[in-house]
Amino acid sequence: MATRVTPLTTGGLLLLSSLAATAGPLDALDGGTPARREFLPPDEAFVFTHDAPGAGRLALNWSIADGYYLYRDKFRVDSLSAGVTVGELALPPGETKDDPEFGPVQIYRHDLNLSAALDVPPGMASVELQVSYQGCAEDGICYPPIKKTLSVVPVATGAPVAALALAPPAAEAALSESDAITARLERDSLPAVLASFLGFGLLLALTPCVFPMIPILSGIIVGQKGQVGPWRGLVLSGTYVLAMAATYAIAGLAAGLFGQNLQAAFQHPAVLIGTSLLFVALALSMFGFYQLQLPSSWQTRLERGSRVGHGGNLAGVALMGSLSALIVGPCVAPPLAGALLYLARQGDPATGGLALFALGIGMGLPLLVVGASAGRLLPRAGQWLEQVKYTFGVISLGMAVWFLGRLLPPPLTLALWALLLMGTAIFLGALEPLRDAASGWQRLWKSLGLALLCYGTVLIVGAASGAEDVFKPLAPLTASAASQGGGREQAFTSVKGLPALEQQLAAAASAGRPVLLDFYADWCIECKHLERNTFGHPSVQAALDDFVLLRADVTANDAADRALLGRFELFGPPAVLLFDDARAELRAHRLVGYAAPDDFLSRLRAAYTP
Amino acid sequence: MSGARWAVFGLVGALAGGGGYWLQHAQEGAAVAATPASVLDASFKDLAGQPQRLDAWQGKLLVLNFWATWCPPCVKEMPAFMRLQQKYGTQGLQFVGIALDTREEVAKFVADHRIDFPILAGEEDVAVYMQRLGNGIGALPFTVVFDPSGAVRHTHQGEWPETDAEAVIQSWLVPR
Repeated sequence: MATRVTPLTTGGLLLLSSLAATAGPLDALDGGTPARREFLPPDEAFVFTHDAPGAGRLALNWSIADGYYLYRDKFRVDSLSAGVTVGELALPPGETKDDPEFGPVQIYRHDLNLSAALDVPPGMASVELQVSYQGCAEDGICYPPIKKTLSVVPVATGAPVAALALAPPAAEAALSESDAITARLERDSLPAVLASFLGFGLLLALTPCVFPMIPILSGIIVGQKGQVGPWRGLVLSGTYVLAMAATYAIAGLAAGLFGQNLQAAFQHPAVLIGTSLLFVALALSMFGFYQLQLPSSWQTRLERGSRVGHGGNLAGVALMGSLSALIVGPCVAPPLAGALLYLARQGDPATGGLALFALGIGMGLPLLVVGASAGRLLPRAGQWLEQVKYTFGVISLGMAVWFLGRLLPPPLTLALWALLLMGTAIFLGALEPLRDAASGWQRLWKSLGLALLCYGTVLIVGAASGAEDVFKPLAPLTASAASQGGGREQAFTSVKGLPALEQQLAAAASAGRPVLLDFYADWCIECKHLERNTFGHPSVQAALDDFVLLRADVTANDAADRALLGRFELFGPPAVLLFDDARAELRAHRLVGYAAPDDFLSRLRAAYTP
Repeated sequence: MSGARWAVFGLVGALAGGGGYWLQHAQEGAAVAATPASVLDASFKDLAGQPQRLDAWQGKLLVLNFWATWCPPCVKEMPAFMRLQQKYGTQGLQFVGIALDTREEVAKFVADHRIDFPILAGEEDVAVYMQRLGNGIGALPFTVVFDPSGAVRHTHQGEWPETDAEAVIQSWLVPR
């Protein structure tokens, strides 16, 4: 349970213990006396840890070395943060020690767990506490009172779980979301945890994280042979969602337990190329080039085995669900990071895995609605169905380009988008003359086709001039004026590994400047959004003017990268960490995932407003 | 900021830098040339709140005992130290207690137990000074014997049995 305490400051008298490494230079002068007994430094005699506060209680743990003890009446916990009250420490009865000088005293040996009520006003991001205790060794020495300053992230106490889970994430933004979520996992009962994560999943379903799954699923349903009724749609989407949720749970378990960044593995070029080929194949089947299904020999075997019609299709759907979870979904969102952190800390696979599964189901609930309604909303057969299929074919091709975009140079991606748009335009009849008798629909399609054609042309121009953003293809041509005006290049200094970071932090601290540390990877789409939209925004740039900007590029995901991520209990980019001018991380204000410029600015203000 | 003010800043900066550099090198030179300065260059407040320099006791066989009122082994060995002080005081032995404690607690304790050798008290400064004398873990009691020249001759961590303490004191009282 215990997390090793990292005291921000080691208070008062304990100063000397940090210097304990220096051996007594005078030992050599110890001539002609009995051999001196070696005593443990105070932090080894009394190993102090504390748990993340949960349910309004603070849990403190000591592991006391053999032959050492702590006095029962010397424990104190004080709040250093205004408005925060710490209740009475619950002190269990101790062992009575008859001291020749002081008479009978109560002491504790070996393991000790104490707790105290912690009352934190709502909205408080972090609480500074001072814990003091004092003890001695059996063999005749005593340690000065030991004072530890802790910084803990409180968890709201009163609010019902359901309300918290359904509140928008912004409501919790005051504390670092993933930390708060980890704390919730540690505190709540299993049903409450599962309900919370189902809620988080629902919230995630409303973010761009999940949007790509809707066309995939719709495509699968539309691509089915024959008619798809609501029931069949529900079965298909249920299979897809279950597979997705299970994949989240399994991948999360693996990541949490082994500390590996699976996400990085699934952004491997081979996987990305494979996935985009899959989408091309899906698209081609939509265009009617062939029926997408498992080889007939497999299909018959599966059908014989399961005695369920279209069993082969279900397996294919499940496969798509798994792939979607691994490749489409992994925006490192706070709930995901929180659950993974819980897994890594607690090593409790059952709770963590179930929480992730609930998260996946929550994300999938809207998809179930889509699936069930697909049969009703989508046309039965005939010309209409063909057109819908074509539409999904185009979307599938778009997905293929989107995946390749993580791999290809941006201008090339732009060119691919251009090809897709122009091809679609041609199929919409953009360049075919309208007959006088043409219907309104035909005219509408033609105008849409022309619009696509024009935008495709603009994209081609943009690609040729080195543009990177599909939505700003002419940026390189129009930027010259802007960049001469106010556009500044953000000067991120790259850091690799912990020692380099420590060095940079020390340098910034001596210059008295705050530090922003951005975890980035080439394969991380959210990181690129963050870089382009947020860090590239003029008002964000202005706000960060005084900051030392550091960037840890963890694309390689090697040992140094993992050490750095591990140091901050992160599982992958994107993450933006803020440090004050005394090298301390403002953990409550760390950002995991993407934030738009306005959101980012308000977080920044909150972090540095005393 | 005007050019003149920059120039003043620059000049002050250069002087400070140069001065610091010179001082550092001068000190290095001195350290090599002279014998190590006595560690008795510290001072702590007595129970009246007056700072007392430790080198005031230089010339005697000085025993510094670091203790605290909340420390049972310290309290336990105190009577033995008083006895030794009685016995060898005339031969040049001087016990001085330095408490890692608040002055009020110490004053009360000294009055209650009729401690008859000088007692000083401090908090963080005492901890830092103990560190300098080689008490890495900062635990109490901690006792250090200085010869009349001010050099450290013996240190003891933990309760010091009276016979052991007496043997060490005798060995240093007899000129060798």
